[in-house]
Amino acid sequence: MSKKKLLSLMLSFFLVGYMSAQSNVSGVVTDQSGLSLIGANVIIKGTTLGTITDIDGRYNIEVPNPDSDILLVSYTGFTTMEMNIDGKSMVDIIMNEGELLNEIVFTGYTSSKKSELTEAVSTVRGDELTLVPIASVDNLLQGKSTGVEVTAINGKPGQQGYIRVRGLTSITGNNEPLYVIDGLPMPSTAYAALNPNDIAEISVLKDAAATAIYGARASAGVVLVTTKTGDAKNSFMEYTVQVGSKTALDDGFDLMSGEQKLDYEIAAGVRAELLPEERAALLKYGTDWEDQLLRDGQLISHNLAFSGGNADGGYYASLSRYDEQGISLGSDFDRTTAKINGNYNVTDWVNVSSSLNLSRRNDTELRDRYNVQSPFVAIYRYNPYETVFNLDENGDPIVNADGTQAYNFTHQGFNIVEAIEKNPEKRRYSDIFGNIAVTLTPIDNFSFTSQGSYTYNTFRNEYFIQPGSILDFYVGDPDAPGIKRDSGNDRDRYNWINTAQYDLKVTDDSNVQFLAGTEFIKDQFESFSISGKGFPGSLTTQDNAAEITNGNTTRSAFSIFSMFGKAKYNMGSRLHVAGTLRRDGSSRFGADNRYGTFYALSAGYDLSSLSFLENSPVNQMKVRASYGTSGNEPRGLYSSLGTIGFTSYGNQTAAFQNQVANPSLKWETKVGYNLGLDFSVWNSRLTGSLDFYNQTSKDLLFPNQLSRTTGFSSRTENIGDLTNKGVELELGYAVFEGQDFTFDVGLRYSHNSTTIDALNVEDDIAGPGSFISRLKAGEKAYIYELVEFVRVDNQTGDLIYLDADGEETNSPTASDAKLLTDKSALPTYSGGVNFTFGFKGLSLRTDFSFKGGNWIYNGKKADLLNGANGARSQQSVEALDFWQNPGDVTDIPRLDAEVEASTSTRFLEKGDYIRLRNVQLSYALPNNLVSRAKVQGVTLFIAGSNLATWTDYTGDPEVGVSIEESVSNVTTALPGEYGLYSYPNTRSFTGGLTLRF
Amino acid sequence: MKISYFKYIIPLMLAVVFSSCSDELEQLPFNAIATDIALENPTDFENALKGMYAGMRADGYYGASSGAASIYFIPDVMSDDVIINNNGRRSRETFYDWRYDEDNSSETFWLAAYRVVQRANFILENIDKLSGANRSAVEGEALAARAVAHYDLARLYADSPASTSGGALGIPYIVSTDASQKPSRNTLDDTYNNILDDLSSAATLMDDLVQGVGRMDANVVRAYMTRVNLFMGNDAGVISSANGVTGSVASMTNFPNVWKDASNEGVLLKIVVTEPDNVSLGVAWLQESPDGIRSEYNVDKVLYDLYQDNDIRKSVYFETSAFAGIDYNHIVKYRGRLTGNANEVDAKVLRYEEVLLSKAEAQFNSGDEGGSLASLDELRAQRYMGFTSQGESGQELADAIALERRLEFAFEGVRFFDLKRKGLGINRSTFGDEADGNGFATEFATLPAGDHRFNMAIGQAEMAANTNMQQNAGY
Repeated sequence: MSKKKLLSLMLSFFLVGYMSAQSNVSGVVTDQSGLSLIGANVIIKGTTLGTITDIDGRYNIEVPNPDSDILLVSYTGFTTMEMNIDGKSMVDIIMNEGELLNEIVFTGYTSSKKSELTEAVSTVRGDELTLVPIASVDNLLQGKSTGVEVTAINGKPGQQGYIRVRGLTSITGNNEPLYVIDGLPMPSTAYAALNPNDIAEISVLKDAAATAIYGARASAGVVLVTTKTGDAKNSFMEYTVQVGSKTALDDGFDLMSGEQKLDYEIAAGVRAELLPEERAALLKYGTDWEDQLLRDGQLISHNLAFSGGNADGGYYASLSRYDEQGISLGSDFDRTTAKINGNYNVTDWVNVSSSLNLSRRNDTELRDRYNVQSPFVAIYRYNPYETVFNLDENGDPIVNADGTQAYNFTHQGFNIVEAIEKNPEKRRYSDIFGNIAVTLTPIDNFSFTSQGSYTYNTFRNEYFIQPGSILDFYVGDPDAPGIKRDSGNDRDRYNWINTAQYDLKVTDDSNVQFLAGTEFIKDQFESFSISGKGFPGSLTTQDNAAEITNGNTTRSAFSIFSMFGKAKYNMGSRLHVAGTLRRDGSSRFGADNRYGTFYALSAGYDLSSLSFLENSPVNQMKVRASYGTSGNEPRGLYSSLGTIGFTSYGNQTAAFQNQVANPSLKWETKVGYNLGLDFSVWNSRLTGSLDFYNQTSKDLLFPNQLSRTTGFSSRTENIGDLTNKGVELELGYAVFEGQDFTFDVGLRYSHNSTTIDALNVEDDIAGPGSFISRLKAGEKAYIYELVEFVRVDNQTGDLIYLDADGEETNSPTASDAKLLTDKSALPTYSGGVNFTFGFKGLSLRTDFSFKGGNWIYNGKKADLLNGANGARSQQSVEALDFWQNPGDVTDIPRLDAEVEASTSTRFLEKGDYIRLRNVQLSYALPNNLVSRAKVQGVTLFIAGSNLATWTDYTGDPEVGVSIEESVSNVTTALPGEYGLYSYPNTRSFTGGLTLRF
Repeated sequence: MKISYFKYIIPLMLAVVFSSCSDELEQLPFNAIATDIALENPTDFENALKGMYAGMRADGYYGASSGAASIYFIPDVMSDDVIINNNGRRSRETFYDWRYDEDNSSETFWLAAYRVVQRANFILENIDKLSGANRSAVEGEALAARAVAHYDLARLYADSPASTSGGALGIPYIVSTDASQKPSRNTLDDTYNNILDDLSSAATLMDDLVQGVGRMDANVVRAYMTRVNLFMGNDAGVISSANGVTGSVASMTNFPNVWKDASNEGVLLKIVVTEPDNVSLGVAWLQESPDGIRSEYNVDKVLYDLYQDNDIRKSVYFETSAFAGIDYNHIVKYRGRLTGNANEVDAKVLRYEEVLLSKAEAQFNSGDEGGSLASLDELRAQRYMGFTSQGESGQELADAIALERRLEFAFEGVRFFDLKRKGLGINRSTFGDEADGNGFATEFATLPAGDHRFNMAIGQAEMAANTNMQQNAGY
C-alpha cells in the first residue's frame, strides 16, 4: 500500500469518526444543469458559522439546531438561497443563476447594487478583456460599452487609445476620461502598465449624476478600474500562456512595379528617356520595400495568478510577462508586471486592505514622422527599382573599406534600413502604484475609510545616432561623430481619500445612505534631457561623450483638494433618489476662481413593482433620470499666469515674457441630463438599457487667437459652448439556454452628435490639434473646410473644382474652400455586437465593433496619387491611369495638372466600418478528466483579432493619429481626421491554454 | 470603549485633512516668474535686453532650423540668385515658386518679429523702474530693437518707400504690450517715420562701440539708418548716417574667417548662435550627406559666372562638388565653423561693407562720382587679388556698384530688397541646377516688376484674429 493511499484511508476514518460524533448536515451544491459548484459559501443564517464547498461541490457543516436552522447558500453569479434543514442530515442544493441585477457596481468612493443605480454607468467584466492580444487596457474597451468610443492611436505595441465617453467634451481641455485605478487617478501614460488579467471590473461613469462626485476633472467621463481581490470563495492558482503572430492590416493600395514606375517618371518629366540598357540596368535589381521593412509580429504572454482567503480576508497575487515583436524591423515591446492585493479583518471593526503593483515596460521607438525616417513612410517613398545596398555588377553589395556593406542612399538621400539599425531609440517605463486603506466600523451602519494611494512612474529614453551612420553625416559634427540623447521623466503622485458612510434606517422598508469625504491629490513631475556628441563606437553613456552639448531639466506640479458628499434615499427596491455635491480647489485655476462646486440629482423607480406588471414576465423595469454638473480643468498647469521665461543668448541669461495673464480663467462646466430605462424580462433572459442624454460643456477653454502684432498668438480663455446629444442602447439576450448548448447575443449601440453652440468668433476657426477641419458656432464640431472637387475633365485632363460661387474652375484658390457642414471628422455612431455559443465545454465568442458617420481625409491616397509632384517617389498603380488624350474617361488628371493636394474633397472619404474585432474559441476539458490530474480546470483557446473589415475607406478606417511627430501632442490631437502613415493596426492570430489548480 | 475613542479620532483626522491642504493649491511654475516682478533691477533689464536678441535668433526671424520663413534667407530664395536643386528636399519651395498666399505665408516671421517688438516694449513700459547710469543705454537698445523689427516687417510686407507714395499701407507700429490690441496698418510714411524716430533716439541714448558684435550700440544703429534710408531712397540720409559709422572692410586674409566666425572684421552686428541653441542656419542651403553635399538651392549659373577667378568670394561662397554623382555649385557660405556642428554659424546681420556700398550708391545718385568710386574701391581692393581700380564713371560706375552689391551680399537677404526698392522685376536664367548649367531649369522664371508678390501676404491667422488688419493687394 502506497503512503498516499494510507494517508487518505486514515483521513477518511478520521472524518467519519468526527462526523458521527457531531450533529452534521452535508450535501452537494449544483447549478441547474447538475454541475457542481466549487467554493460556494454555505453558512447558517444569523451566525458566522459556515463552510465552503469542495471540488465536488460537497459541503459538510455542523449545525447547532438542525430543526430550526436555515442554510444560507451563496455563489458569485447565482441568486443567494435559503434552505430549511428540517432535521435532515443530507440537504442537496440546486442554485439558480443569479440576476445581473444584484451585481455590485463601483460608482466612485462607494458601490451600489446594479438594480439600485440611478446613474448612467456601464460595466465591463475583467474576463471580457483577457485573451485579446493588446497590451494597453484602454484599447481593450473598444465596442465593449455603450457611450464609450475607442480608437487606437496607432498599431504600435503597447500603444494607448483615444477614448471618448459620450462624444467630445472639450476642445482643448481633457477629452480623455479620468482613469481611476483602485481609487487612484492614474496618468494616461501608465495605462499600459496595468495587466488586463488583474482587472475584476471596469465601470464607466457617463452622466453627470455619476461623474459629479469626481468634480472638476470628470466631465469627459470617469473610468473606474477595480482589480481582483481574493476571498474564501476564490481559491486557486491559475496559469495562462498565449502565443501568436500579427501582421499589418491591408493598406488598400497596390504600388507600382519598377517598370511601371520608370514609365511614369518619364511621362511626368522627372526622368529623361532611358536607353534600353539603362532601363535594364535599373530594373535588374530592386526591392519590395514592404517585404523589406515589415515582418510578421510575434507575441507570447504568460500570466500566473494566485488567489485565496478565509472568512477574515483574502489575497490575490499575479505575475505576468508580455513580449511582442512588432510588425516592422526595429519594433519591440515587452512588459513584466507583478501585483499583490490583500485584505484582512484585523478585529471585528477594523479592516485593512492594500495593493501593490509593479510594472516595467521596454519598447523601441521608430521615428513616426512624415519622411523616410519612418519605415511606414519609407514603404511608400522608395522606388521599387532602388536597392538597400549599393550593388556591384554581380548584384552583390559593395563592401566598404571598413568591411561593412555600402548602403544605398536612394533618391531620398537616406536609408531607412540603415537608420533602424544604427539610430536606435529605446524607451523604458517603470511604474509602481498601490494603496493602503483602513476601514473602521465602530458602530452598526457606520463606516469610516481612509485610503492613501501612491504612484511613481519613470520613463527613460535613449536615442543614439551611431558614429558613421548616415544621419550622423546630416546632423552631426565630423570632428566628434556620434550623437546621443538621454531623456526621461519621473512622476510622483499621491492621493489621500477619507470617506465616512452612514446608513440610516427610516422605516423597515426605507433607508438613507450618507457618504461624505475629502480627497487631496498632489502631483509632481520632473524631466531631464542630456545630449552629447563624439562617442567611441558602441559605448553610449554620456561619460563617453567628447562633449556634452545640451542639458535640460524641468519640473511642474499641481494639487487638488476636494470635499464631497452624497445622500441616497431607498424605498425598498422600488424607488431610489440620490444627490451629490463636490467642491474642488485646483492649483490650475486662476486666482479669481480657485474653487468650483459641482452637483447632481438623480432618481430611479422600478415599475415592475406596480400592479399591472406584477404577474408579467418583467423582472425589472426601472426608469432613471438625472441632472447635474461636472468640470474640466485647463490642460496647462499654469495657464492663468502671466510669466517671464528664460533662455540664453550668446551663452548668457536672457528673459522674455512667454505667457499672457488671464486671472479670470476657470474650469469648463458640463451640465446635462440623462433619461434611462433598465429592463430585465423572462428571468433576466433579456436584459437591456436605453439612455438619452443631452450634455452641454460651457465656458470651453480655448487658445483664443490674438493679433500676432501683440507678440503672442493666443491666450487660454473660456470662449464657447458645445453640446453632445445622444442615445445609447444595450441589449443582452440568451437566445438559447439548453443543458449542453447556449447561445447569447449582445448589442451595444451609441449615437452621439457634437454641436458647437457658441464661439467668441463669428467666423470658423481651426481647432487646436486639427489639420483641416474647423469649428463654427451652430455647426457640428470639426467639419471639413475644403474646395469641392467635381471630376476630371475628359477634354483637358484638368481637375475640375467648384469655386466660391459654385462655378467650375480648374485653378481654385484657398478662398474657394467651403465649410462642409454635413461632413465632420467625428463619428456619430459606434458600438459592438457579440455572439457567444456554448456547447458543453466548448465556447465561441465573436465580437464585432462598428463606427461611422465620420469623414476622413485620406492623405495617404493623396500622396500616392500626387501627379507630377509625387513622381519622384513611389505611387499607386492607379496613378498610371492618368488622362492622356481628349475623351479619356478617368479619375486621374493629366500629369501636369495643377494639384491642390490637401485642400479639396477629392480624397475625403467616409469612415464607416464594421470590423470583426475578435473571435475566441475556447474549450474547457471535462471535469472528470481534469480532476484526476489534481487540476480544477484546463481551458484551451485560439483567438483572432481584426479578422475582417467592411468599409468604403481606402485602407484601414480605424484612423487614430496621422503621424505622431506631426502633431504637437499625440493625446490631444483630433483622432480620425487625417489618414497618413502612423504605425499600422494589426491582425493577430493567437492560441494558448489556461490551467487552474 | 471603542466608540468613545472614535468620537475624538474622527474630528482630529478631519482637522488634519482640512488644514494641510489649502496652502498646496498655490502652485507656481518652476521655469518662469510672474510678470509683475520681472523687471526690478539692472540685471533683470540686462536679461530682458538679451531676450530681444534671443527673439531675433528664433525660428522665422534669423533662425532657420526648419522649413520656416526667415528674413535672412527667404528673400534670397525668392530672388534670381538661386535655383532649386532637383535632388534636394525642396524645402521652402512655395517661396521659390512665388506661390505664397494668405494660407501659405511667412507667418512664423511675422510673429517672431512682433515678439521682438513686444519684448522691447515690455522693457520700455517698465523703464521707470530703472534709474542710474545705464538707464538711457537700456532704453536706447530697446528702441533700436523695436525699430529694427518693424523695419524688417515693413520691407517684407509693405512697399518700398523709394518706389511708392507715402500714403500706401505700411505695417502696424506697435508701442504697447496690450495683449488685446487689434491694430490696423499705419501708412508707409508713418511706419518709416516711427522707425527713423526710434533709431535716432536710440543713437542719442546709447554710446558707441560698447557691446561687441552680438548686440546693438549707437554705431550699429547708425549703420541701420544707412540701410533704412537706402530702402527709402533717401540718399542724403544714407550718406550722413554712413559717415557716422566706424568700421573697416574685412581684409582679403580675414574674409574667409568671417564666414567661419573666426574673425569679426567688418561685422557690425551678428545674431549669435551657440551650440545649445540648436539653430543651424546653413541647413537652409545644404546638408552634409555621406553622398556629398546635398543642396536645397544652388547658386544660379549666371550669378556664379559673374564671380571672377581672382575674386576671393568665389571660393568662400561656393564649392563645386558631386551629390549622387552630379556636380553642383553649392552655396557653402554658412556651412559651419572651423570646428563644431555642420551648418552652425552666427547670422551676420549687418556688415561695414554694406554701409560702404550703400554710401557709394547714394554718393553716385547725389552726383559725387569720385567719392562713390573711392567707396567702391575700398571694398574691391579687399576682394580681388591684384586689384587695380577701373576708374568707372557714369552708368558704368552705377552698374559696377550694383554688381558688387550683388556679389558681396549674395545669400544675405539683400538682393530681393534691392530689386524691390528699384522697382525691378525678377528674371531667373534658363540654366539648369547642375554646375555646368545643365539639369533642371526653373519652372518659375519671372516675377514682373510691380507684381503684388513683392509684398508678402498677411497670414490668415492674423487676418482672422485681427479684424482691423488690411490685406495686401492681390491676395
